[in-house]
Amino acid sequence: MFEWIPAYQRFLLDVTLIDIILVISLLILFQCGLFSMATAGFAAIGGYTSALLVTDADWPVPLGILAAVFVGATLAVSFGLPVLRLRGIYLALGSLALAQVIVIGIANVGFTNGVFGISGIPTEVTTGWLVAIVAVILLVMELIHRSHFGRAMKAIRLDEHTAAGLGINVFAYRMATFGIGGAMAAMAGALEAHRTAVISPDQYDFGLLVVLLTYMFVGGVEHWLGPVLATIGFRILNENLEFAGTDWENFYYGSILVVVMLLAPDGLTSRRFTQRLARIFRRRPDLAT
Amino acid sequence: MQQTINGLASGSIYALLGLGVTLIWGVLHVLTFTHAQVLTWGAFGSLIAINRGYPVPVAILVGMAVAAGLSVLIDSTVLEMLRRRGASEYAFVVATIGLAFMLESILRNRTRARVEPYSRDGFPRGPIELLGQNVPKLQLAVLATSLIAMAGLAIWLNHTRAGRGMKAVAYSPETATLLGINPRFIYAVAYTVSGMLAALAGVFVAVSTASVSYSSGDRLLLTAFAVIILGGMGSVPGAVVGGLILGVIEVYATVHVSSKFSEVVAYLVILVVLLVRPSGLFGAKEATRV
Repeated sequence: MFEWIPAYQRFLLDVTLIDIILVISLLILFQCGLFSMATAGFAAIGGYTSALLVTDADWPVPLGILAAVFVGATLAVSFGLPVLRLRGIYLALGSLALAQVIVIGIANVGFTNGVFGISGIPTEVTTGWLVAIVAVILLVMELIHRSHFGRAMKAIRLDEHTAAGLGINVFAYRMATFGIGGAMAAMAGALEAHRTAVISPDQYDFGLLVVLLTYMFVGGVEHWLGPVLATIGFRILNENLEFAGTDWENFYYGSILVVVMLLAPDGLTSRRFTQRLARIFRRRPDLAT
Repeated sequence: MQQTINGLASGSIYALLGLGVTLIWGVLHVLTFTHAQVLTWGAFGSLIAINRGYPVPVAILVGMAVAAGLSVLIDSTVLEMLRRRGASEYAFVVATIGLAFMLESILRNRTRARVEPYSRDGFPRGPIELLGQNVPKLQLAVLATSLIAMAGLAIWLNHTRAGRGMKAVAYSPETATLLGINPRFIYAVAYTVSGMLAALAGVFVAVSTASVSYSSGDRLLLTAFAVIILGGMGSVPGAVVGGLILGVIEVYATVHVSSKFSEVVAYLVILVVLLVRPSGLFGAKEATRV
């Protein structure tokens, strides 16, 4: 279906689509007021679950990916049960520690082949699959955004006590969101594994989280469209800037994060920022006269 | 016994790190993800001074000055702007993560990602006989430094005007301003002290491994967080006790399980303490619960 696209462009498209799934998995948590840093860990779980089931146990690829989603959701829920009573910085630290335990664990146990990773994973995931999956995810995100569920999430993010007072079961919503987020990150990891054929623990490091945070905060946390556009925009930018892939790439992501936090902490598409911009532009003619 | 001594030695470096992070958390309620980079920059500062032929104490002071300057610079630019706009908690986390990435990237490019040798000349060397055990003099020096730093911090916070001012600002910046204390000055002081402690830890890390590179501090960031979560966030004695305990646990984990297992000890400590007792050993108040 997408074979007419040149191979390199198709590769870029695949990478971008998988990044979009990861960013959405981070965003859905943030929209519920949860600042979790475990995304890379869940992606690693998903990638390894599917890769091991398919290569060692000869499962078909779709079944492996489904298993990855199931394992990701189960792990997220079982981790969420004790951890979701933590707030803010404590949750961020706890989830970061969890991600590190997962990745270091994978690098040090035998059946995952340690730091060398797994190679020769069947690559059945095509661009068509990814487009379909991302389309479904974005459709669901839009439905959630417009539904009671989405408004409840927003209420929890803005003020959880008021939300609880309005009859929203804060804990249940957070658990559900955490499970969905874990499942999506695991699915992205599994899809990535079946796209590249090779996975190793070091690809799920802290740098991945920083890149995803950049996409999410630049795009804005209020609606899914912002982060999706930001992910695509950064990919295009990355292809056209000469320092991409060099050591300066980290500098560039780091400085963008800092600048966005200073100018528009809720992202460039947030209402707070756009209204400020609008005010600035409206004022300009007055200054000219 | 020998293992406990080794654990206390590495633990006292963790304690120095934890003291710096806990001070910032206690005063500003900011978790500084830049702390590991400040440590590395401080270590490089002292390395440059040593390579220029300055004596060790001067080199340590140079490293501390570099780290303190960097910390204050971060605070008075980015963090001050965030404070002015009343940014939420996550904004500080994300901004300091971004800053840490920038700082690491600069060092990586300046050093071309090389591991630089760090001379041990002029630092205490060789073992000393103590209670029938061989204790390396360097580790004794590290332990003494962290205990002195803890005692100094505790006395300073409780018995000097500037220290009490810091506690007032930590309690409420608005009230402190009414009482004639300048919170911005207090923040700068807190960052200076925190940076100096980080540089000390950085020098000790560099000496004990006889090398320093742009990634020297990477692993230590989450170790520092583990220390202050274990000790109780914002608690000065907690940071020292937490650091020493973590150091001992890591050494025991290496000896009795495997050296690979010791890598995850810090993260497991974070998880377990958050689940069992989020306020840590000495924490004054609990993490918010539902």
